[in-house]
Amino acid sequence: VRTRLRFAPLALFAACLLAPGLAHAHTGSGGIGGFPTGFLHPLSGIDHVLAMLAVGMWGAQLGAPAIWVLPVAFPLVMSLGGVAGILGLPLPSVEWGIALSVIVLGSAIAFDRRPPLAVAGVLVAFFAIFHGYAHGTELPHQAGAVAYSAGFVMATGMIHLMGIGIGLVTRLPQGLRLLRAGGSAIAVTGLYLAWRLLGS
Amino acid sequence: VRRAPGRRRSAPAPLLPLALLLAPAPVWAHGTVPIGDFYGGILEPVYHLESLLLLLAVALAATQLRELDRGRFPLAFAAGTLAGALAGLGAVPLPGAAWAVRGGTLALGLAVAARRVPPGVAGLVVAIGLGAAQGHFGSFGDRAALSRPTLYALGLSLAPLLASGSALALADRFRAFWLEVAVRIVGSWIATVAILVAALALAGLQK
Repeated sequence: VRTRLRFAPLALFAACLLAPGLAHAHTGSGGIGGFPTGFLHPLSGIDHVLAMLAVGMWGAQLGAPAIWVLPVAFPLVMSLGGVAGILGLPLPSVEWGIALSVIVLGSAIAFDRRPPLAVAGVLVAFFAIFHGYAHGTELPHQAGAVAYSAGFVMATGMIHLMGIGIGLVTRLPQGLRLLRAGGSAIAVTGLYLAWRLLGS
Repeated sequence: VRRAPGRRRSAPAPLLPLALLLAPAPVWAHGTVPIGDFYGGILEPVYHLESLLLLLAVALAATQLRELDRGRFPLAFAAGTLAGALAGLGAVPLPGAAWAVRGGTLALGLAVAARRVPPGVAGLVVAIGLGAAQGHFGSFGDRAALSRPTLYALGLSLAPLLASGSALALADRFRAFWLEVAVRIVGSWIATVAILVAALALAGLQK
């Protein structure tokens, strides 16, 4: 009896699969744009992903209060860059700023740099402007601009949280070494991105 | 298997969803929900991101307040929403309501991120003011299309109570440091989106 009951949920799941015609909700009639596109935008570029992962990882490496101050400061200042992009204000060397953010933040983790909170905050905020500008310049072309902005802010925050999660590896034995190795990998990738920019 | 005398054997729980799958006809999900009714008022923030952001900010702010303020803040916001909605339905103009909603969302998001939500009377005044702007914003433009305006206004004012009640229940269930940090981070996200929404409005890309 126990064995049969154990497979009951599986049997139920299989039974549901046999009747897919009953599901008509969310048939994909809506167009792509708005929130999903905004959410995917930070994920579509390795430079964005690595920089934001580094923000979370560095915050975790620095400990409280940096662990939450950096992920709070980044999106707020990023929005100012986004505003500049939306309004069409000029910002030179955006791609270089983004590549540099990957190199500097990765190096900070790799070399275990622990500056005062204000310095770390200003550094992160400075680079956030370039990331925000890149998002902002693409924002007005989207159909649902407000939903798009909510999407990319949420995705950015989630990558920060992932970075914090990775950064918590420092609590393990040899965890700091692992984290520094991860920072090195990020910095090297940043150097590669900069090299590609030189070639373009 | 011996059963206790007098107890009836119930159907295995996993079979109930299966039985429901065999009877799809009575399911009316995604049917015609009357727009402009009580339910339409509750759903207004779901369809308008600017309203939703303010609602979330109010809910998160309530979790950072203490004792009676935790309940009073969303209640004051709901009362302000009802008053603003009734004023909007009565075609009373409230210039700058949309900008008050955007600015209020930004300010409240920043207050949550900094954990500086005003307590006491100051908080109540802020909540009533923001609620009035939200209620007017959510009703003035659509008032001609509403089928039951008074019920719509009631639904509109109930939405923040539902959101805040859920947030307070979660905060009381998980009293943890990580949750406090999460609330502050989400507050910063709300402020960030509010800044972008304001920029879009300035650029004429958001009505």
